[in-house]
Amino acid sequence: MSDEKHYVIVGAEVDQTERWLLPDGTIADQPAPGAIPLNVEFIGRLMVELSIRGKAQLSRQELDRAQEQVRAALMVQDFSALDGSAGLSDAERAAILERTTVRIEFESRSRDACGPDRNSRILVVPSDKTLEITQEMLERQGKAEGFRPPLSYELDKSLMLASLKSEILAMVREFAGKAPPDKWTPELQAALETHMAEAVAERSVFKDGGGLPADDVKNEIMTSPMRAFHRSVGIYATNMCR
Amino acid sequence: MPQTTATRRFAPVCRFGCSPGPIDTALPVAVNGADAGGNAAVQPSAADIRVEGARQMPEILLRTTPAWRRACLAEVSHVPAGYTYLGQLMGHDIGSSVTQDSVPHVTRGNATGAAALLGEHHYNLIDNPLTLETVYGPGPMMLSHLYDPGTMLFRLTPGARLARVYGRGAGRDPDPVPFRALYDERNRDTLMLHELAVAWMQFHNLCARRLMAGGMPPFAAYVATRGHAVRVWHGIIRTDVLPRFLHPRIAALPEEALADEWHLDEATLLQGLFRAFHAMPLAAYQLGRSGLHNLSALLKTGFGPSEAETDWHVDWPLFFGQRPGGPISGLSASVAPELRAPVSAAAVIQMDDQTEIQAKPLRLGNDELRAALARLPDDWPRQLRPEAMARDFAARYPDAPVRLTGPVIEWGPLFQALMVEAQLHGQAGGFGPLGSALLRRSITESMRRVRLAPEPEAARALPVPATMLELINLVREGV
Repeated sequence: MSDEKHYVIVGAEVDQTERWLLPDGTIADQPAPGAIPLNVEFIGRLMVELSIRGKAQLSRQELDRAQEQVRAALMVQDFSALDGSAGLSDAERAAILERTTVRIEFESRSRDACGPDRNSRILVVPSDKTLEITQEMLERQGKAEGFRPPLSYELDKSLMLASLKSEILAMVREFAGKAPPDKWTPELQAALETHMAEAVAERSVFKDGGGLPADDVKNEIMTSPMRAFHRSVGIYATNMCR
Repeated sequence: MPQTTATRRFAPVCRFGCSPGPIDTALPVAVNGADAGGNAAVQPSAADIRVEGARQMPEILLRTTPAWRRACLAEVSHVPAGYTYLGQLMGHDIGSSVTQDSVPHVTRGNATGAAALLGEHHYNLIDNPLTLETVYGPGPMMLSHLYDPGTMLFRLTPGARLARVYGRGAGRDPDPVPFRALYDERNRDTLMLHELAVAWMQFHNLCARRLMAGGMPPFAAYVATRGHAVRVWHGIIRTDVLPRFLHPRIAALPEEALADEWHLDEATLLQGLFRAFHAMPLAAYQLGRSGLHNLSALLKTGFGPSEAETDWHVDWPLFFGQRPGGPISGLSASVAPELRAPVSAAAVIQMDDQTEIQAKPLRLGNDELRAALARLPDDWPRQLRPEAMARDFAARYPDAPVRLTGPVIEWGPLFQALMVEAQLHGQAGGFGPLGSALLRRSITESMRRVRLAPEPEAARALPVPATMLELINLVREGV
C-alpha cells in the first residue's frame, strides 16, 4: 500500500488536532475539559521543555511517555492532491499511524573550561518519498515570483501579514510623494491608509461563517508570540517535509 | 412600479464609479403615476421594460454590512453548505455567459434549437444546458487532455478527489505551469466545487468501467454512461437540489400545474435568477478534519496547487448535513463581504449588475414577470407586489442598511428582488414563492428539453445515487 501512496507524516496543524491528552495522562480521540490538544504546538512546547530540562533530568518512563504523546500528535498528510492520485482512506491513515514509531533524541553541549564547547547536532533525514514529493512539486512549478514560501502555511501568512502592517503602511505613505499633486489630496491619502490598515487587519483574522472572529485556535495564536513560537518549533521538528 | 418620464433622471456613470450604464440617481424614486397602493397607472411596454432608464441599483446588496450579513444568516441559515456549491455546479451547467463579440459565431435560428445567444449581447458557452456539459465538454473525441483516447475514460485515478495535474516539469519545459485536467476551469473556483466536479468524473469512470467489463466497446460505454449520468443528474436536481430551495407551497404543486409564465428565458435564468445564489457563500468554512478556513483561502488564486488543494479536503457528510455541526447558509438579502471579485462582495454585485445591463434579463417590473407573479397561488400575487415587499421589509428590518422602496425592488436586478423575497418569505433558507416558481419551472423546462438516447439494457444496472452525497460516497468507496 505505502509504495503507491503519496503521503508524509507530520505534526498535526493546530486546527487539525485529532487526539487530546486528558488530565489523567491518557490520550483520547475527543476533547474533554482540561484536555490538551496534541498538535505541532504541543510538540514545540514539549521540545522547549525537554531542551530546558536536558536528557539527564529525564527518566526513561518520562521519555517513553513523551514519545507516545508526540506520536499521537502526528497526522498523515495525504499528498494525493498534488498529482490527482487516489487519496488515503481513514482506515489507511489510521493504520499508517499505528505502525509509526517516534524516537526523541537529545543534542548535547559540553562545556570545556580549557577550550571551546563541544556540540553535537543531529540532522534527521526523513524517510523515502517524504522530501521527494515536495521537491517534485516545486520542480514542476519552475520559476515563480511571489510563491508561497516552503514551510509556511495559512496561519503563517496571516502572522506575517500582521507583522508587516507598519511596513505596508509605510509603502502607502510613500505614494504621497509620487502621486500627482493636483489630483492627490491629504484626504485621499488618509482614506487609503485607513483602508490598508483595515484590509491588513481583516486578513489577519480567522472568521466564522458569519464573518465574526472565530473561536478558533488560530486566532489565539495570532495574539500569542509564545504560542506561535511553540507551533513553529513543532513544525520545524516534524513538518520539514510538508 | 413603472417609471415615467418625469421620474427618470440619468447620470452618465454609476454613482459608485463602476457601471457604464446610466442609472436613476434619485433614490427612492418619486412615485408618479401610481395609485396609493403602488399599482401601476402606466403599463410599460415590452420595449420600455428593457430600457435602462428604468433600472435601479441593487442597493441592499451593494451596501451589505457585516452586521446586516450576520442578521440575515441568523434568520435563514438552514441549508447545508454543500448545496451552495452543488447549486454553483448547476449554474455552471446551465451557462457560461460571455459577450457575443468575444465569440465568432453563426446564428441558426430557433428552428434548429440553437440556444447559444443570450439576449442581444451575450453568448452561452454551454451549448446544452443541464447535460453535465460543464464536466464533459464536447467529449473524448475532442479533448484528449481530459480523456484517455484508448479507454475514453476521464484521465483520473480511482479514488482521487481532485483532477490530475499535468505539467512536464523541471527547467526543460518552456511553459512549466501545471494545469488540472478539468473541462471547465470555473469548476476550480473553490476546493468544494472542484471536489464536486471530480466526483461526477469519477462516477462516469466507475460506470463506464463496469460496462466495458461487460464487453461494451469504449465509445459505446462512454455514450451509455454519459446518458446515464445525465439521468442521475436530473434525478439529483429534482430530489436533492430543488427541494432545498423551493418554497413548500410551490414544491407541493404537481408538475402539470407549473405555469408557463414561470418559465424564464435563459438570459433571465442566468443573469436574473441564478445570481441570487451569491447570497449563499459564507465568510469561512469548517471543513471537518481539515479545520476552519476563511473563504479567501478556499478560492482558487492561480494555476499552481493551492494550500487548500494540497493540504485540505472537504468532509462531505458534514457539508451535506448528514452529520451535525457542519456549515449552513441560506438565501437572504445580503452577500458575504468576503466574496471577492476582485476585492469585495460589492464588486461581485456590481459585476452582476453590469452583466445584467448588457444582457437585459427581465426585471420584476416587466410584463412577463408581472404575469408570472399573477399566476402564483393563494394570496401571493398581492403579498409579493414590489410596494408590499418594500413595506414589509421596512417593517421587519428597520435596521437594514438600506431602506428599500418598491421601485428599487421592481426595477433593480431580478436577483435582488428574489433575495429580498427569500428573506421575507423563504422557508428553511430557500427562495420565496416567486423565486421558487421561476426556479422550478425553468429548471424543469431545461431538463425537459434535453434529448437522450434510450438507455441500453446494460446501463440499467448501473448505480443510481439519489443524492449528491450518495454519489460522492459511491465513488469514494469505488464500489
